[in-house]
Amino acid sequence: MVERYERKRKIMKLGLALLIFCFILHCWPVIELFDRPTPIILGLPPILFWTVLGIIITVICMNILYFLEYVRGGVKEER
Amino acid sequence: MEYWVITTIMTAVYLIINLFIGIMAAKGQVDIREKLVGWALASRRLGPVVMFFLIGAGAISAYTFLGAPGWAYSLGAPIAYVIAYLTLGYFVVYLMADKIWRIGKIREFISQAQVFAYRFESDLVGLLAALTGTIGMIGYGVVQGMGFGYLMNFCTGGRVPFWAGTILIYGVMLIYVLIAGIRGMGWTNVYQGIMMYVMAWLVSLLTIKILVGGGYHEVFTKLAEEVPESLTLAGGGWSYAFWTTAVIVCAIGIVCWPSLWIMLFSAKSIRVLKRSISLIPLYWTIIIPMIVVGWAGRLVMPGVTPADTISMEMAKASLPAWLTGIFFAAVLAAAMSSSEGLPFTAGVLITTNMIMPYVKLSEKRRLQIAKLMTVVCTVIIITISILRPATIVGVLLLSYGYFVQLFPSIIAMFYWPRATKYGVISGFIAGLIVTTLCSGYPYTHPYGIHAGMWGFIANTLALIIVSYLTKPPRQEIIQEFIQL
Repeated sequence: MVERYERKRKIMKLGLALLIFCFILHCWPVIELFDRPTPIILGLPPILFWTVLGIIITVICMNILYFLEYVRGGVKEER
Repeated sequence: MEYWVITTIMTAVYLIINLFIGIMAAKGQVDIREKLVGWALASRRLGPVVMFFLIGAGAISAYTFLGAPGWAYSLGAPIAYVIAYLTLGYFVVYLMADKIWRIGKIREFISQAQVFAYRFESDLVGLLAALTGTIGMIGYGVVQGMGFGYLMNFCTGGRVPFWAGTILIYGVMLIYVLIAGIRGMGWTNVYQGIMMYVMAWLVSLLTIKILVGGGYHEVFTKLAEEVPESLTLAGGGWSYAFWTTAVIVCAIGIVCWPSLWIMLFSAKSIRVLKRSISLIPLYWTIIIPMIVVGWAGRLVMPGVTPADTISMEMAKASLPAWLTGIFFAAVLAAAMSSSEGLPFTAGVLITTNMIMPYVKLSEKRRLQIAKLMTVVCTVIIITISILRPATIVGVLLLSYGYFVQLFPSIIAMFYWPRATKYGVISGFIAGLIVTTLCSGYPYTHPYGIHAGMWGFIANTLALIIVSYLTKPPRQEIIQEFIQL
């Protein structure tokens, strides 16, 4: 029980760090780098390309957490 | 056959299939007819696919199909903030889902306001949370209801009057929500969600191919040459301070929605819930094709007013009637997937926090009252959407921006043992006052920072200061929340 609690806390801390990382990606000053009309990347203007890439990065971050908790951590299904 | 006849038939077929799926969802589910938890939370048994669409499609409204392309058309680049805040918002939800789901399961809560009342040992706090939620749900419901009128009017080439469209769509939703509760919303969202995703991409790619003569690359290459300001934030009148604060405020506002909490409570297990949420942002790619249509409109169809109709005008100008009809149905699907839960959530909040704490009721009676309140809220929404009294609409529009002011109390509830009920109440009130002051009464986003951010700062300060000045809460409940 205690062990499970400690493990959860660690994952939560990592989660918070990843969340802040994802927020930074979408806020100033990072967004300023992409606030320009060109180049067109994969058919999208820089700002749209960056926000779409943000979706992929965020999903990867959440899936890292999911993997650590349920796949590697082997947390049983709770009902 | 005339154009409007075909589009009307397509819309009608969509509505009938929708109604059928919604009603069928209740088949063989005894609890839906017997218990409040069966109807409102599907007995906490929804699986990953239904959860994905219930939350994912539920967050996509007609705004994605009309308002967002309209923004891209008239303002340009700032519209990308919608993708940014939705993505970040669901990461916040992912991290908090554990605690929210567990407290609901352990204490058998049905609404967000019940959790507030329990943690702060005060029915008054629960009542306030329920009241804010109800007003906000009705406010958002009215915004959507006004859209239904226009939408049905447009689909049928002006044959269905505004009032009839609003009543028809809310009526259809009310039928399957009353019969099947959240399970009905879940399964209709699967149908609506898949349909609107496919149509968004199909219509976008075809329209641009036909009208611009190429793909997205051609659209943006031309825009960069002809109107480069449409691809920058400054071109749309947004500063970096406003972008950053708007993204933060809107992202943290998502976890505050009482309608979302009901969805979270309905998941079969915490693992199922996290599986769905961790993939939901992929669904936000539905926004891309629609905003590109708006941008393309700037090249080929200047001068469309109101700007919000640009996507429908583009579809009408390039596609055969049957396909345009299905596209209109998809817009309707988006509108319905996000509004079916509004009167439902309001009805549940009224029952759990304004009636249940004060009157002793049997399980069956609770369910009947929740359904009755859902009908009452639907009638209120329809009436205000049709009559549109200016002052009430003004207040309601402000009110649904108030949810974000619940965020400090939600964080304090789960993570800060020292938070007291007076702290939470004063924080919330300070937040509302400051947000209102900064939303044009009399200031508008001072120093280029989003009004909600100012409210959020005042709210957090008041919460901390007043909590320290008042008696600490009881230890047992605090421990329960911290250890969830």
